[in-house]
Amino acid sequence: MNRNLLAVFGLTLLASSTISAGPAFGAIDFSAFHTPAQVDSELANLASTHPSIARLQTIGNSVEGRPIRALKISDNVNTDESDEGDVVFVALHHAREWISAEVALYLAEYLVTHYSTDAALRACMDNLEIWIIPVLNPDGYIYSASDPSRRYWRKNRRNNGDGTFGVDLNRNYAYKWGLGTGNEGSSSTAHDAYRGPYAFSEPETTAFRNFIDGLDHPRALLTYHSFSELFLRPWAYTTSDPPGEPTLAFLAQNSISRIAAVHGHTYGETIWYNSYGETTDYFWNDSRLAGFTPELRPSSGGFGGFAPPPSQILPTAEENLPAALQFIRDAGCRRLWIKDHPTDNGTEPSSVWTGTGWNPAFWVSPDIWTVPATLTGGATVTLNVRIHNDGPAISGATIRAYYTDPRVALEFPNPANVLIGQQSPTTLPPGDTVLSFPWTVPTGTNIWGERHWCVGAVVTHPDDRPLTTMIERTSNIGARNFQTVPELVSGTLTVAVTNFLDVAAEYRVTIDRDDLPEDWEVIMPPRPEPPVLNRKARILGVERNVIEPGETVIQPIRVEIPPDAPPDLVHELQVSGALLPLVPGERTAVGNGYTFRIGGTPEEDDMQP
Amino acid sequence: MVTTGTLTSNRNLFFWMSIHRPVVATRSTEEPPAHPAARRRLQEASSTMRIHRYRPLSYALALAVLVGSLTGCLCRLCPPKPPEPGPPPPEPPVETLARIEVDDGIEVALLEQELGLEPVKVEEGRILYYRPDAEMTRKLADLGYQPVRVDAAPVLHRVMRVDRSLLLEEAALVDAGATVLLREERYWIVRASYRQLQVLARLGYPLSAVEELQLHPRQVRIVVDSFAQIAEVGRAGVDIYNATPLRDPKDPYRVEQSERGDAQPYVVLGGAFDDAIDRLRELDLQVEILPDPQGVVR
Repeated sequence: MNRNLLAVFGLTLLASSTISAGPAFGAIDFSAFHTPAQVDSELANLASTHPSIARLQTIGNSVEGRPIRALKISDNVNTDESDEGDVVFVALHHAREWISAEVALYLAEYLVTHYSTDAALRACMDNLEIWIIPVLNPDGYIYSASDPSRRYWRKNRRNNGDGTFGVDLNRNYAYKWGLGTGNEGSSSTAHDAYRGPYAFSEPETTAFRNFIDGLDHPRALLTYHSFSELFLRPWAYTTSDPPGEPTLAFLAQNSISRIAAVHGHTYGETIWYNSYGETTDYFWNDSRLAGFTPELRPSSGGFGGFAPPPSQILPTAEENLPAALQFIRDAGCRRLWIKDHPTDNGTEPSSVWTGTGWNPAFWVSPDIWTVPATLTGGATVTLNVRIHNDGPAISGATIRAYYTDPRVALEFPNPANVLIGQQSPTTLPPGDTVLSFPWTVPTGTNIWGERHWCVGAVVTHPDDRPLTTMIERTSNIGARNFQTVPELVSGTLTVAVTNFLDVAAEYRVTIDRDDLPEDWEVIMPPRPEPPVLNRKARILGVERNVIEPGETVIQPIRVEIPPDAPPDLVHELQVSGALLPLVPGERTAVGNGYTFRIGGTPEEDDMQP
Repeated sequence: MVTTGTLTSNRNLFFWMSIHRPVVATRSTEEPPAHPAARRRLQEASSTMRIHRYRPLSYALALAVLVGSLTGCLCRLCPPKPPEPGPPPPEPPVETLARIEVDDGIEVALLEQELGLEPVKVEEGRILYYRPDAEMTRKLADLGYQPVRVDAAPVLHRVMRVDRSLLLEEAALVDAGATVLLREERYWIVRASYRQLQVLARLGYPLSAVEELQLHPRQVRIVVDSFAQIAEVGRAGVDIYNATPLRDPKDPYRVEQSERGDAQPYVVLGGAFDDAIDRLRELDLQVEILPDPQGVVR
């Protein structure tokens, strides 16, 4: 991965002579809908004519055993580059929505043919693995294309065993599965929105979930549907805002503007009904992977809306291209960024969960600091945020600073955040810029009885957008943990673990005491187990530390400092935690940590409860 | 036993009547259906011939009786033709199932992933049925589940076609517990448990497998009072394709205001089976049935 634009440009010049350009853009005919076989063959053709950057692979099989194909586009396409981010475009969850496969195919052709000619795009693509899955539901697609009477088939081709066929794949994901009725996700096997007998009952949805779980660093997901000209964002199951709504809204509205700029079609933001067990809800809840659902042309109509005239294919694909490219730029080319820890170089993610802790701690941004450094509750201090700009001077950026109660999982923005301030500088020059915000430090303790506050800073720009709310997964967000009293001498630290997920989770709290002298004792007593362990935990073999949704667990940590320790000796103790949800598939860890300073001189206002 | 084949092929009212009495006599020797409503229907069927839904056709019926009697006399001159044996009542693919209670669909997915459990059916994400298997039952018991064996016939459902004839009543289908998905001119498509289907078969309802293309939702157009009401239409079972404000000038049915309120009316276009359309009409919504897509044959 190379994040230096000049170096990337140099590499581009060097490498372009060695990469076969293949057929030029426009070789694929979009004047008519492709048949399923033609989509397959066009994909294979893109891979074979651009072998150095495109490879066709199978992510799983449909219920009737057909392969679900993904076109991988990346610089070293035959290598799994674990340090690169992933952007995923998927289409045709619903069999009758043929135009979605066309849009995905168009994007694929655009990317492979412009890689060698568009240096700026290539610079971003080189930092990514891009996945295009034009047909997630091959059985349904083939069935839909096999006869005019079957043209409006929506589901997959599961034999439900009762004389009916098909499960609606976009009602089969695990988040909020089974809570709707009718169009929201039906229990009736004949219904077009039949949700399946249980979450992830279908091989297509399971394959897609496992595929996303298997990616190194998924950054963004676009799942194309039709029709009605909408650009939808989570939540699908409710009209209430999800955590991170401002980020999702910004991404969606920015995409809508880009779409409208092409042919003047302004996509809407809301649909008329809720959907339970929907794709983007699942991934936003699971791992704050930002997923969006473009509902393509036309804007209105009856069943014929699923079969627009072929003349609509090209304008639909053209208008959706800039929005897709911007997600690639956001994910692959960071420009404005904030460090998460002293050694952060802008890599995303800046830290990973190792199973025993976050490596490195990512809540210690050197780009966020206060003057004075020592905080007292109620005092007004200056909060400084440093923004790095790796490109030329840029206008239009907005920087927001928040503080929040630190919990196991931190995100910015989040409804629990308090906005400290917001600035939109006229320009951000190349290099570093420090912005200052007045901040009145909260008095007392946070709601968990701790003297900890976390400050988060978010930098956004229409051409450089944070794709998630998780600190470690985007360079657009930095955070710093503050203590309003400086030190603990000896005593008990309290760490609160809150399950903000909607599913039960296993939690892990870990202590990094490497910085402490050996004779300083840190003890974390085990939490008494509840009398009846969660059944999902038993199935997964998780024997302890299960936390229900919304539950908060106070985890005491006993610190014993020898009496003869020098009073001016202060050390840092990192306490971190993670939630591992009790869900099928890979259980993605989400979490954060605190930095406690211990040692020194006792003060009246110490941290003990 | 009711000869469903005979009834299915019956397009002639006289022919139906000529076999009606023997059929009832045969029924009377059978064990009565378990469902009280079905039992009542059976009693009614064996004692009298009642026509509820087709009163306008009663004159035609009387005429048919007359013609039938004449033809019957003629037929006495011919050798008697026994009714053709119909297919047996549908049987579930397994006789018994094992049942456990689960919290939700995620738990089912975990059981499938971790234990290899293959659910036969999951009711509302809470009751999971699987084929009895000693090893699986032991594993589940180890996890704290309490598997129970149950009869499969009332649990498993099937969608079937019921050919219509003048003297068969939709009300009896509903009384037996079936859901009428489609109400076509020549047949109903119903969803019912095997137990319920067995009752219907005994009552003389000619059941046959559904051809998939017969299971096609109707195209509907519904005008609702407000944006919020669109979701109600979806919850009632309409597969919503699109909704647009009624004031849309492209809409040929344009009106400025709904008859039922001042809120912005919308036109909802979608697909729905008749059970959903019935629910919409119970909500006092006007449902317009639109032409089917090309190739759909009912």
